Amino acid sequence: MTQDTDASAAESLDAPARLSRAAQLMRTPSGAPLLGMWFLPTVALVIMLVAIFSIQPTAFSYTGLSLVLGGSFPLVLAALAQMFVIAGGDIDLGIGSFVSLVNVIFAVTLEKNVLLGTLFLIGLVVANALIGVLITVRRLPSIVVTLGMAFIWLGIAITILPNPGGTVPAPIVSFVNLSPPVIPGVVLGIVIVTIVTSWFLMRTRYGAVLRATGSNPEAVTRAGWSVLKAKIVLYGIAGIFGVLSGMVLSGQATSGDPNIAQSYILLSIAGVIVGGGSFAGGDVSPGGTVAGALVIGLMAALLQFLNISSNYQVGAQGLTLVVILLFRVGLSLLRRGRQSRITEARA
Amino acid sequence: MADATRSVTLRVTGVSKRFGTTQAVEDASFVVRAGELIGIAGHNGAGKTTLLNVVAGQLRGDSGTVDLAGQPREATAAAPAPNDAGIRIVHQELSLSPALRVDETAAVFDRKAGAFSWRRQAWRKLRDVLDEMFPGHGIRPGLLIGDLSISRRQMIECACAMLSRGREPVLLILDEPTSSLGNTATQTFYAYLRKRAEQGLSAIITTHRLNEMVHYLDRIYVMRDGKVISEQGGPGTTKESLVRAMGVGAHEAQAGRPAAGPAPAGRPVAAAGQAEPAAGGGELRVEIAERDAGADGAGPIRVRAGEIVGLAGLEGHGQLEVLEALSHSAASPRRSMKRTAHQQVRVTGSASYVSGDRRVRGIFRYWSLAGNVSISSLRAVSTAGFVSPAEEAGLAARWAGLLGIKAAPRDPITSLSGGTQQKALMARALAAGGDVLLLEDPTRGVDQSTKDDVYALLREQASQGKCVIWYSTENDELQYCDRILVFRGGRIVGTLLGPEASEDAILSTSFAGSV
Repeated sequence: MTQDTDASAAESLDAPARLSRAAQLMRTPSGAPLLGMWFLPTVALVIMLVAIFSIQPTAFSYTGLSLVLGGSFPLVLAALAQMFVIAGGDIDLGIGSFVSLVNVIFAVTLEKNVLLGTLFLIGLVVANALIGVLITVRRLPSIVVTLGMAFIWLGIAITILPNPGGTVPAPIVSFVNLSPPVIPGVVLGIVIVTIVTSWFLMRTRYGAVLRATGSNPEAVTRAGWSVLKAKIVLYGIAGIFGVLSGMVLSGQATSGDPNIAQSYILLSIAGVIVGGGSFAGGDVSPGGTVAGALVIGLMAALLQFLNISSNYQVGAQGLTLVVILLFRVGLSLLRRGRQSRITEARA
Repeated sequence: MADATRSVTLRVTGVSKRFGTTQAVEDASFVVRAGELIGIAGHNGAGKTTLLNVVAGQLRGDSGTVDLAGQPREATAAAPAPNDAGIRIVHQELSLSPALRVDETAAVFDRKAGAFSWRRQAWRKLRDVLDEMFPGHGIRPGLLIGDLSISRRQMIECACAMLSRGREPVLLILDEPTSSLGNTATQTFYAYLRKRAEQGLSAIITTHRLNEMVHYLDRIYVMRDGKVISEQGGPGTTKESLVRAMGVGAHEAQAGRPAAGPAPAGRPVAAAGQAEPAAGGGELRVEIAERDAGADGAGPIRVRAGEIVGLAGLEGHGQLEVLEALSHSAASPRRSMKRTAHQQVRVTGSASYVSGDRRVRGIFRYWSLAGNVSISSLRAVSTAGFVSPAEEAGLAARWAGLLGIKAAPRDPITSLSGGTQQKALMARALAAGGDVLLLEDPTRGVDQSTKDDVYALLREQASQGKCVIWYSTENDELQYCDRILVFRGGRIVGTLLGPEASEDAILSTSFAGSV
């Protein structure tokens, strides 16, 4: 049906010229990009995995995969938390301290009192949702509010646990390190969160409303949806993923450290952006974010395998990210024809 | 059509609204009957948008009553959401989310689409409306809104208003719905409205395109200074009678080509259809050549200093590409030849560009008027790299004076009306002092008196030796050009001289070259 309409449109007098051949090949008949923004980070991830496996064939095994991917799983979850905030047009600088605080709660509070610890975690998710309310209602810049919250989370974590220590309860550790048959638990976990978040954000109507909130809040209001509710949902989900990230991290570390996840602040943002997202709001991809976070997480392992001196590792990491982003520019130019507005007139 | 026997859909009585010291709307009353398309005319700041916001319940009035479909309410009271009341609004400023796909956008508006395959369901409904409203729209469901042109976005916005949102619409409020639509799209849009009106839908339309009002609407209320001062309709109504009632200024009530005047006499004028006036004008500024010409011997089109050349044709047929290519050519260090799909162009000299999509591509929202005007000419107002605030303000004040912008240089740009913002963009381009002015639909959504100011200004700039390349979606303003290049399918299919550029001539030329 759709194709019929398009074909007749192309014939009619009003129909402008068509997309260039290359640009046309990049699109489905409905006009959607054939390769979504998840494409590049996924290619980068595959290249990286192939490189790791060819250098270290033992990595391609149940234990090997668990080890290689396991270390990146908390970052994947933190990046997804960040992605929901960025989808709403905001940015979350508190995610690193938030995850660290969750880790401390697991290692200290939950260890001593399960009920109190659980309430604490739920409270954190609610608090995060309330930050969304504060930012929306008072029209405050998210970057400032979440930066402030980062210090509050850190302060609470240090009050509970001034120095690294504590013990994560055994059931949590064994749950996080669950070893189902055939497929490593980490792989399963990554696949599940990818599918669930992609489906929710990209394939449900409310997901579209959430993305629209970041893209043009006024349009959402005019279409009769509540921006405030959408922001609460976005920040709430971000809180849930922050708790999940902290839980996985705790299960892997088995002890607490109030500074354990400080690096996640920028790495999670990098994951979203490498994953094809942009700060424009509403312009993110869950699949891409997962791949982007894995690329960032695996980079250190790969550089280690490549015997690159640790002096150059950070630089090499940054360079790789820049290269991926350069490819992205090329791909989007190809996809859009030459210039977005011009091509659109023909699309 | 003003059939007094029909039931009344909307009765507005004595609505007033004051903002601070400004009486935005004063004792406004009007009636919309079932199946009527009415217009509200008035220049910028006449109170149209405020009145409509009170009617829709988005703004509380100071006094008056609004009676919608037999359910009266005080204008001062809180109103139900417009959707629930059966009112659909298409706002003047485009309001879609650029990050969403077309089908997702439809679904956000259409609450009725199911939980599963919601995108397809919503798209089908939107497509049905689009097919009827804008045949041949060429919009596909998977395209991102952000990748669409302004006109296509406006089409989607108009069509979305017709989607079911729990309640069938009884009253449409359309604020400049056609400001970015080309001619054909405008016609089919009104045809669609008329058809829906016969089924009982009513609509209130505001637009600065007065011809549209006269042609397509049943009755027109004219507003001036917050008051509804007259009601016009029927055969006696003309653009001129509306203009007189609006009291914009006597100068534009003169028929034909007012303020700007015809192309100055004495300028060598070529025979109709010929590509260019005889040589000997000003300095050569712009060359536009069809890339695969050659065969039929048509030489490049040469535009000289002092000329105003319009780019016309149906929307999206290559005019913008040429305009952008010209801008790129002027910006390139060697003033090199730039290519579009079908033309190659070259600019000799510097160029400044006035964008039509002022919200996205034009203004700096958080800056003052002075900052917005001076940004393209900072070199002129700075010493050793430091911008002098006094000189900057002086520059802005000078151009504001020349263009009739009534605002202080330090006023925030967003405090100005849309038309005045557009003038500020013109001021920026003029202050930069380029040899070539590239205009992308500069009078979009601007009132008639501002338009006339712009026309006069362009003529004056041309007479001072500027070369103006002007893309417009409003065919009737192209008569202010010396020459008009008509585009079709990316190619230049005809050249008209200013005086012969009637709407009909442009349309027939743009269709004549069709295969």
